[in-house]
Amino acid sequence: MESHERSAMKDAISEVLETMFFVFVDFNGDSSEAQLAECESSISLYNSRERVDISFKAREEFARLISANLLGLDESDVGSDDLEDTMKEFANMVGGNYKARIDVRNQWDLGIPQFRLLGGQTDLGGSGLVFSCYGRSMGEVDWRHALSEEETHPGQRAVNAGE
Amino acid sequence: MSYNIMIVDDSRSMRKVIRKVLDLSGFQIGEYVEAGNGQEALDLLENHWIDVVLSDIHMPVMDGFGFIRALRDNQSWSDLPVVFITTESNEDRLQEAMELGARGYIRKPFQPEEIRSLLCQIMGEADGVTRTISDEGCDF
Repeated sequence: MESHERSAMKDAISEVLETMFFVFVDFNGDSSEAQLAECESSISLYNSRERVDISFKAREEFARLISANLLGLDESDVGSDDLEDTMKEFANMVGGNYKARIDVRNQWDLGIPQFRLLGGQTDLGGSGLVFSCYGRSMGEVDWRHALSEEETHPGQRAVNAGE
Repeated sequence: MSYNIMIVDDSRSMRKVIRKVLDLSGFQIGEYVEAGNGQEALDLLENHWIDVVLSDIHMPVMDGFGFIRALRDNQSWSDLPVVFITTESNEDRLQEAMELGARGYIRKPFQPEEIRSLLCQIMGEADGVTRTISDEGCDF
């Protein structure tokens, strides 16, 4: 049986992509294909004790597609700034939507999204969720629980984004 | 009558999407003013007359809460209508936003209709009339 977290992440990704980016995905992809991801956006959920780091690794063509759809542009007119900004907003919305689905006690805060280019090399942990579009794997979502900075380094202020 | 709209969001893409929604909604927009965070918005307000603010909550430098508190503490802007468009899902935080004087909030991801209908209501109240909305937009 699928975990609640995994199911919530699938639902969050689907809702955000369908509502804001007019893209429909499924989650039956091949993770070896997703290893060709070229960019990554990420966001953290955090509280005083714990952190969940969510990472979206994607092919550039997927990032370009959702950027074009969000901004109403032709894919060839999507600039690198558009692509970065859209991938960050994608992480932001999925992170917020995922939080709404799992955080029934309102214990988590949402950080500020980040973006980086991967140069075609990714280190997939294997626990991620591969998503596909038009029958092709387009990327992978991975999320990991960790102790917060505050817990790891007692006495130091947490440096999570958004604080 | 046209309205001047301020859009405050650290995402340039999201500011562009909101502008597009408003352009397609039949609102008569006089001027768009865009800011990347609350502090930038406060600075821009010094030189622009704004009718409605659409603001994100999670932003660097000054977030939406800091921004609306600053507005309410300033006599010139204390009544300026603010609508939050946000990924925030914490009901306590959203309630806090309303208590600080937000006129409403819309959660991302959103349907364009949500922005249209809330703005139609707020602009109607500002004009002292009840505005109705149809497929063609607000009845301005």
